[in-house]
Amino acid sequence: MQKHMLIILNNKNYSIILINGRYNKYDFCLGCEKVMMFDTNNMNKDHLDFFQELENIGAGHAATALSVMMDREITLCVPRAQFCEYGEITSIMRGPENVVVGLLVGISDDVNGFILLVLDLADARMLANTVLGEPEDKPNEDTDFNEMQESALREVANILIGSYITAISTLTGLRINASVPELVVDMAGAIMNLLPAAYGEYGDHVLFLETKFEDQAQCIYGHFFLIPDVESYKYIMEKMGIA
Amino acid sequence: MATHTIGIADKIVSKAPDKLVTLGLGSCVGLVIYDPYKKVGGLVHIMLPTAPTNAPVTNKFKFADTAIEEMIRLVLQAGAARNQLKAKVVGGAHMFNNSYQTDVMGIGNRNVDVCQRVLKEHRIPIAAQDTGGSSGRSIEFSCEDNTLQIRTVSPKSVRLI
Repeated sequence: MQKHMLIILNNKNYSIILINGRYNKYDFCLGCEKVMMFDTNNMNKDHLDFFQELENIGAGHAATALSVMMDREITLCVPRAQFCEYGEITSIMRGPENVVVGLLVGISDDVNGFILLVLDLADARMLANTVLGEPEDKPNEDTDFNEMQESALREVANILIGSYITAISTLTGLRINASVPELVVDMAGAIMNLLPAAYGEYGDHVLFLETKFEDQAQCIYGHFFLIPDVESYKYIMEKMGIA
Repeated sequence: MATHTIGIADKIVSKAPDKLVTLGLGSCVGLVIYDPYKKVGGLVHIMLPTAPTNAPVTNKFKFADTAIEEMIRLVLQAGAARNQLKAKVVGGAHMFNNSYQTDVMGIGNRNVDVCQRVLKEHRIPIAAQDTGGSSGRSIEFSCEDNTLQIRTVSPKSVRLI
């Protein structure tokens, strides 16, 4: 049976790693066609620890960048790992119909894939207004952002994803380039379709790592997904000497 | 009347007056196969176009090709007549417009293509279709009058096909 790996890491509140293969009693292989296979049959605690650590460092850098930008201290809690099914990915986002903001960045060079940052609508609005120095909007169901707000959110994504990539790049010595973020406001289910669509061919489970970012006053919920292709995964693991 | 809601890579078969629902279709496809006279309908939430040939298929309802075959079998089992079967196809949106990663990004189109091809092979006419675009969709199929309600949030809209 073929195996591949995929990580989905998320920033604000949670982090997900998708890996395909077998770990303990879980059959959680996910797929990707026409790429080199990474054998995850002998996936062990070290590998999981490695991805947790990678996530920790990446998210830590992103938290620092966010702190500087928002001019308030933001802390990061240690992630917790658990397995979940595809359907549960959207329940993390409070149901498939919950409207969220998805910011997608393509990555290339030594690692190819994409990074998806998902923010709750209200949090995205709050974040945009904080960056723009505007008074808080009343909470509303409106899915439209004005041009300035969209631009502010793209910039937030740039900074978060940029610091995230820098962390991973520094740790692994791999070169990673990021594209300009693309912003989509839609149902969580529709946006998160990207994940199983990319890697859902072979498996039904994802490994889900929780990360929590908090400041004293409020919690901004966001989700950071790093989705490299399978070959890039193998490369990361090799580079770190744990393949 | 009951409303049955299914998740990703899931299916449901029921009869009038029940309603079949799935939420947040992005690149995924919501496919209904029904018999308008017997009022039997089945809904499946398809994720990917074709099942892998080099690995075991753990869930047939994940892939368009295998899902359609299974769904035909299930609606017939539930009392539908083979020569009366019709289909409705919804979803397959292109959520992100990036040119990179075309394989992954074009998955919506491929999902719809495979659905159309496989339905044609099985000689099941597509009574209505609402596919592509860049909006997520939630759908509700009525086994009673065979209407399919489509809701989007961005932009906000409700329509029947």
